Amino acid sequence: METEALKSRDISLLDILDAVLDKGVVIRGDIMISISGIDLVYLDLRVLLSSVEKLNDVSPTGRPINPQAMRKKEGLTNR
Amino acid sequence: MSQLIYLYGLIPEKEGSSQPVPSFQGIDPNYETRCLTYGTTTAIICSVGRDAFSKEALEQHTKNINWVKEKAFHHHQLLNHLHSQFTVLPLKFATIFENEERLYDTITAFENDINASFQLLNGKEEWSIKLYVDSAFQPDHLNDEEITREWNEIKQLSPGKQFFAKKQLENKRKDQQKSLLSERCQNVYERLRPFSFDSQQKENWKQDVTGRNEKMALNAVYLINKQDKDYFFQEVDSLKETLSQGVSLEVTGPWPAYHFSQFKQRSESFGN
Repeated sequence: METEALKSRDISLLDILDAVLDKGVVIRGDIMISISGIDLVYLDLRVLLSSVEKLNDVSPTGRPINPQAMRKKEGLTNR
Repeated sequence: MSQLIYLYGLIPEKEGSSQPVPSFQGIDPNYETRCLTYGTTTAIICSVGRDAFSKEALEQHTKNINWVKEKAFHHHQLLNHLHSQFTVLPLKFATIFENEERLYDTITAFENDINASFQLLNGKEEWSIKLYVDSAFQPDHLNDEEITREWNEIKQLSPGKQFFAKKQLENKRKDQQKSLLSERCQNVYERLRPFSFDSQQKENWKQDVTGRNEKMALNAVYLINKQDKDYFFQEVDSLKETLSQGVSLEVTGPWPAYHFSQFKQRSESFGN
């Protein structure tokens, strides 16, 4: 059964992808990717989420993701 | 063969020189993030190998949602971390340069836009507001008298005509519900605007994308002055108290200003 925390986390995941893949400053780099069909990426992500991980590092209110936990999870470590 | 340069974002040189910019493992884990300063701008970059970040390699990688998720998260987390300490212009995911010279040329060409954006974003952060509506939502402003009158009129019709008239009436009700809901969402959006520096209303995401039982009814982002944040959240709290049954409001943030960083001009015209 989906928990509230998982739902909120889902949205944050989508928010993140939406923000970094589709928004942000566009400065013409020498290489830029254009991911067409952002909706399809989100849908793929949903499939991924439902099959992979149980996530619990967001508060049920949908408040910000705990950056520490996220960093740990994503292997983004401060050296 | 030389590495490419991955650009995460830009911070004002003044801020970058007044406190140390932390270094992280980069998007290509073989390299660390580092700073390159050009005039008034400090670029947060990372060297990346051509094996994984050339155009051809990226085209392959972006077909793999796991790769996109991992790298896009990394990009966001790094910007998010920087945003907690500096004014940050977040770059779109996967903006890559052949070498430092090309990066320098580009930043120099955009210098005025970059400085204008630094000025705009200084002391501000982005917050996202979403409204969801579940099946418990019943608009309470539909006109009961009108409904009764219309049903009575239908009863006078022949059975065949009744069928079509009922269908028509049901559709009319659905449209009315939709427009009431959209009016209310618009009110929520508008009520928060005076407490923000700028705002954007985005497309609502469909349920198959969010995977939720509730429908998204408002998807908005606000650029808030950090010093005015309390007022904004007081209004959010007071809005929450007035929401009808079945409507919920969710807040996420603070985000780097992804939605408010775009340059007003030139961004499309600067050539390859």
